[in-house]
Amino acid sequence: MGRSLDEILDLCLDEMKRGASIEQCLSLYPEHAATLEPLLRVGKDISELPRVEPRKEAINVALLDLGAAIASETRKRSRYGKLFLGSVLVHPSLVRAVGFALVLIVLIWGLGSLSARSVPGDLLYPLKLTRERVRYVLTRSPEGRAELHMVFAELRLGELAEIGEERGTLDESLLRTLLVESMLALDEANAADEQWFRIFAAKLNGFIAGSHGVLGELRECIPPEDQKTVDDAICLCCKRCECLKQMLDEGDGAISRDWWPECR
Amino acid sequence: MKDLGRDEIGRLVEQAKNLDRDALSELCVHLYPRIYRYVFYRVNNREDAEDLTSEVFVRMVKFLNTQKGSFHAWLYRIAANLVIDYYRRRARRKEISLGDEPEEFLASMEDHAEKTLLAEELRRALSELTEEQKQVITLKFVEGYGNSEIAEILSKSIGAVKALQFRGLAALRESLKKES
Repeated sequence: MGRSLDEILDLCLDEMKRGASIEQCLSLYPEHAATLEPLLRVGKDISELPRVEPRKEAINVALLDLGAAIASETRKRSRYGKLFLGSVLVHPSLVRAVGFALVLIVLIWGLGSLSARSVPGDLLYPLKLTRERVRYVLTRSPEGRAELHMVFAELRLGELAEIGEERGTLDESLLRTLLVESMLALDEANAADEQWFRIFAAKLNGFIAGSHGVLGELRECIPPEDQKTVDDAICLCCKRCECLKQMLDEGDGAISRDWWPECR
Repeated sequence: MKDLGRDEIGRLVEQAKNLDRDALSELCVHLYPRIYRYVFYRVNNREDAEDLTSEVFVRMVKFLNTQKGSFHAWLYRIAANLVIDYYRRRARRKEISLGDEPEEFLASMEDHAEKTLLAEELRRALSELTEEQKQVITLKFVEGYGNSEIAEILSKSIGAVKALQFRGLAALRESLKKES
């Protein structure tokens, strides 16, 4: 049975993609040449259209939105994780199984891993900080160190939110550490190459913008006398976001890193 | 920018499912231009295409842990759904005016590429295709996807993609003939 015109056209387009000329394709199907020829020419013209490219600034904006979405999704997932654990533990039949699983987890990951979820005031919290310091000392590259500062800042933000939600208090030293870590992240990144620095600065901006939202929620949980401190931190976050945005929006040339010191 | 292979994309997607910031950023930087073009050819407006493309990646973060099958196809389906919502919203606001769409399209195209007569005619003709024809033609001839990938993205059979390709090119040809 003969091939349909749809298929013949598709075969010809495939041949052209491999380098055949329109005439060569038509010579394979002379009986359909009159129909195929204009279609093949249109197909060729479209493939040769100049490509529509997005603006660099639009990609930067998308990266900022992405950073905010990651921050929000991370919070959501950690909240769901806790809810799930709580609902499982109320079933007595599962308590033993969960207990056994917990013992296994302790054996496998050890105390070090358990300490990862601790917050200031917990027994394992000093161990968590020690692990972080060790990780930092073992990291040599400025890129790695900058990433670590951002990870630490994210951890402090999570702890701050957790303490605020559960105890209704503000841990000022944690808040200070959070702001310092995000500042140190960019300081370290300054030594990295241009392209990496640009992506990292956009990520950091996303994180700081996300922090702004978390601090806003935290503000509602703490006593009024502490709210001023959080307001100052939010204000600093906004200022830093603005600085980073200006830095990133500076066009096609080399990114100027001089903006940052003004926002420390 | 280097082009990422299928394996590399797969590896990044696995990392991204755990909300790995680097992997998500790399996917966004790498795929933004393709998704942007796909959206742009359907909404014909740069600002709207930028907003919608950005929203595609926000949704990617939100729903990636439920993603199965081809990642590209999944991402294009998010984009397609957002474009449908966009037109629904516009229709509700009664903003659609058939007369001004080609001008808006061409005006925004001016920033992107050299305005040659053929390119202008082709783009105008492209905007007159049906939604499905437009999708097949842009995915195949602008983005260079194969029939099987397009079939996956559009949830259609390969035969249907070939038929849409034929009818799309024929409609373009007719439209160009009328113009000339």
